[in-house]
Amino acid sequence: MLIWVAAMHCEAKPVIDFFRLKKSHDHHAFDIYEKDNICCIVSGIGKLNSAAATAWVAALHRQSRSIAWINIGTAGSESFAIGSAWSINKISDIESGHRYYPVPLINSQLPAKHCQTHNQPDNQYDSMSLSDMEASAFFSTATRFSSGELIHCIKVVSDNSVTPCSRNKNEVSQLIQQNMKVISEFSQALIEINQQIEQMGISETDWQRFLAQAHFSQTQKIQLKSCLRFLLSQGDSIDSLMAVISSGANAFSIKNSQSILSGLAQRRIDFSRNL
Amino acid sequence: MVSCVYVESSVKHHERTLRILARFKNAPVVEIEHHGEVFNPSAQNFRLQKSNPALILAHKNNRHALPTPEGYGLGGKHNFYFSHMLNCLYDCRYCFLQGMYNSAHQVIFVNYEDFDDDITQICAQHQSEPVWFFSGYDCDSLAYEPVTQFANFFVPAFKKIDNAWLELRTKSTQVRQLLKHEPCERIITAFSFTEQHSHDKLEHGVPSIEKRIDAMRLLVEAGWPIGLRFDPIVYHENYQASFSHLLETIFSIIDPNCLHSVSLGAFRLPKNNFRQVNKLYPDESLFHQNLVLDNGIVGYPLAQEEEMMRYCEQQLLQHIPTHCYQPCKWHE
Repeated sequence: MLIWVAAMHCEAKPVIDFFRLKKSHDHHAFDIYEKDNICCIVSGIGKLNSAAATAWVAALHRQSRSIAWINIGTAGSESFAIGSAWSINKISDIESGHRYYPVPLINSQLPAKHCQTHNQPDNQYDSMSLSDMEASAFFSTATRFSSGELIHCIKVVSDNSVTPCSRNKNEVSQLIQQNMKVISEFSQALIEINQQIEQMGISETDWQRFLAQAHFSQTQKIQLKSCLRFLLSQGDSIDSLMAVISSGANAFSIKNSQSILSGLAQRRIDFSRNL
Repeated sequence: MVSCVYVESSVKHHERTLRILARFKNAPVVEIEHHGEVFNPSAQNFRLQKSNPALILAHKNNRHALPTPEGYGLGGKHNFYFSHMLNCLYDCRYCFLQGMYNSAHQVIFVNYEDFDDDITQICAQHQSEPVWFFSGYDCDSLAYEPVTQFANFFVPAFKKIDNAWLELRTKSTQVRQLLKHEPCERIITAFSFTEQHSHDKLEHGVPSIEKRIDAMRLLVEAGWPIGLRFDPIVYHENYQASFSHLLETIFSIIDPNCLHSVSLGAFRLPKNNFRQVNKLYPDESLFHQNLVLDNGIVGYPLAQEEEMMRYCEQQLLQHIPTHCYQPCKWHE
């Protein structure tokens, strides 16, 4: 699952259009647009709105094996060109003094910059960094749900010391729209990284199928998950493992938790004998 | 190539920092206050980062050299370790470093002079006795030598302290800098090996066995003392033949009489590290072998471990003099 978080509709629109997302009518706290494994939420301007929307949409997708995140939006800068797009490698929250460092795993054409997040619009541009109003809150909230490698911010310069911030929504959308090729390439690389994590997990539905076979203690659940993740990585399928557990002809056909775990553990040792 | 270089503000003008940055001209540079800001946060995935780690240039403030954990050493009375780096260039699945830190980024502490001061002071406290220092505990001592110039600094530093002994432990072939110096009997370069099958399956990014033997040969020919570390021995169906073959390959080139020390140990990990690496690599066969928890350490069942150690020991002692053999007896 990839979730885009944008402060304003005009910032979200290029993403919604590019991925052909459809508005969800199931939710009313925030506007959400979705299709397949991509979602875009419009948070509203500022740290509080961004944090609330990020937490809310994470809770909404709590069944996802792994969530990747991009905060897309506009930012101010002293001298960077209007319309230039940047990935963010350092975020400083001006009010709290906290600093955050998105992990630079993605080899992107987007150059990386420092972003300062403010409570209020900032007219005193810093010469070395971008200025926005959401990135620090977005990042610190998203790290409660995903690891730092999966959380990124992309900012497009909308105003600088020469050109003030545009109030025209179409112009704002256009600034992001003209960078969508490189932004979508960035998001595709992020999706691929996220898939590495997703592939290591077990879906909630499958997990519940196994848990329904017997009563497992917390320790046994950890052992069961470890066994299943390994056996699935070695080519076993959910159905084949369920068949093994359910098979009357099998040595661990008596369905209590210990016998299921013993049987799976033996299968695991057999698989791993030769590395 | 590194994905990014983080530089602590306090060392941004340090001569060693500037030299390292000059090697990575195209990497983005991000200034930080303290390496812990990037290295310590818990919301990090070591496995993902390992595919493209960043470099962190930092200052080590204190505790430059520390006593080694119990049982770590080569028979000496005073044993210390020091880490100019955190994390390793290589990606060995059995290594405890995978579960050690939240981040896979490589930290280099550039203030070598402060390490040297502490080492000198410790040695002065034990003037009449040898003091051992191990540099390959939190990293590979030599793998990043072209960047760190670690050996280039510390070889002369150790030479000038008469009772200081240094073990450089490595899986690399980076001996070029060492060869520029006159050999010193108190500086031992210890090469770690696993047999071919384990090397293929578990040691990602590590130079081939043949290339490492050749690096050893160059050091031996130059008069440097070397060590061998067969640790960990990993079980698989063909481990005996494969281990024997490794020994034959090594000793067809290396004269056993040139060895300072040889150690041997079966695969084992502290419980917490094991839990962490198993979580990171749920698909790794090594962690799903028949392993048991014994006194806080996860390893092979005692009988199996004894059998593995017995076999490897017998094979080893056919090649090397007994006096240089150091079995790793963690059960005691």
